[in-house]
Amino acid sequence: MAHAAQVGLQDATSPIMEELIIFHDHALMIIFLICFLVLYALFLTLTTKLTNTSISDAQEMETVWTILPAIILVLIALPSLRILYMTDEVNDPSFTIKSIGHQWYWTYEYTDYGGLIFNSYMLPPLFLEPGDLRLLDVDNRVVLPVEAPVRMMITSQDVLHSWAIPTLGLKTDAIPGRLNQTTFTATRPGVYYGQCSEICGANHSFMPIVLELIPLKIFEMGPVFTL
Amino acid sequence: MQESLCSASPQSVGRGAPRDAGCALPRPAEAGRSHAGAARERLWGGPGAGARTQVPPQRVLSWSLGRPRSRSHCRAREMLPRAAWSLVLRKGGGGRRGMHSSEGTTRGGGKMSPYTNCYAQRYYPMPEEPFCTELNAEQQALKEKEKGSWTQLTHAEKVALFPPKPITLTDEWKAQQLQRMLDMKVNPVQGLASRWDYEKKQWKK
Repeated sequence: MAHAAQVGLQDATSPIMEELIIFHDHALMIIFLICFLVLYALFLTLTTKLTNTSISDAQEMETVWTILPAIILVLIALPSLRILYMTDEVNDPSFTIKSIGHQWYWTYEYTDYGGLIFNSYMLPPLFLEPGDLRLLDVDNRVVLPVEAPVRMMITSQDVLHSWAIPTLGLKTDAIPGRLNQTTFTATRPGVYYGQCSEICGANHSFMPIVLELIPLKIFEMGPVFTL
Repeated sequence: MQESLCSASPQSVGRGAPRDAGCALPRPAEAGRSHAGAARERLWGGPGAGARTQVPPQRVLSWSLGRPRSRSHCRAREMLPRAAWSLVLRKGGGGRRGMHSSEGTTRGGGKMSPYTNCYAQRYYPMPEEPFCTELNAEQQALKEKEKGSWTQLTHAEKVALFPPKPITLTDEWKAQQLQRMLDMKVNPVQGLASRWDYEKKQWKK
């Protein structure tokens, strides 16, 4: 999760997100170079003492400032497409979970090995335990094994929602009448937070998503009641 | 101290009980509370009640290892009525049109009241409607004054009208939250937990 006033991306928990962070750094560097160049040119234009009123054409300059941006765009597009196709790979997921968006909570269905279906509501502020995260913690988390490819099937029961976990690099729209699929493989155990990312009504900000990733051995022991 | 302005009192069921009930966080000291603070409490329905919400969630199943659950003895006793209560709520609170809220008679086919017996719906945790709609004459007058120019309000009145700050913004809670984030090793690669030295239990120099 992000700490207060965090501006940058959260640390990656999946290989895709690691790639995305590298790509983000790459694209940001290009953007900074272009911005710096433009600002420099602007500065020179505003502070020069030279005046010339008889320029009619500048073929060489026009050629350069057409070819160079095209090359820059290719340099951005190639890694981007590579990551896009990497995201679409479906590498034999060992577990499938359905996530259904409602107004304003999520329902999760673990139907691979038996039928476990539960709702995940945001914890109201009055029921937070000391140290809990307001507007982020939920009553029932989505518990998953680490280092196992997981497939999420995401849909909605009423309006558009979006199931997002920034640290895993996931954001998939929950569209009523449609099943969207996303896969991920988490590399670190822990608790990871996300929030609904498509405006869905009054309590759009109050339907968070919490993933609890645990070692496979513990996951295999099955669900236990907690009192 | 005046309790909730609603006629029904909230029940202390569920996940550790709401903080107004028995096993709860220590309340801030009530002595020395200012007039504005007392007025705000009456207007907003008691400390921490600005977001008074509904029956706590039912933690049916969990693989949970991590977070130690305290107050389990409270929870065990409350599990059975809570299970029944959450079933009622899951069915929509017994039907919306037939719902008798604390405000009075049912509203036939009209807007759904966000609160039921002083609790918001589980799927609607932060209703925009004010929690307490029964105000005494002084509070009513203040609300009327609020409709006019705000420059006429005194500082104390402005404070009374302002919603209370969430408890999670106190220093104590922020410290506990930071400790929890460090225990969870949030962003251990380049972020928060990477700057904490777990052996020496201090920030890395």
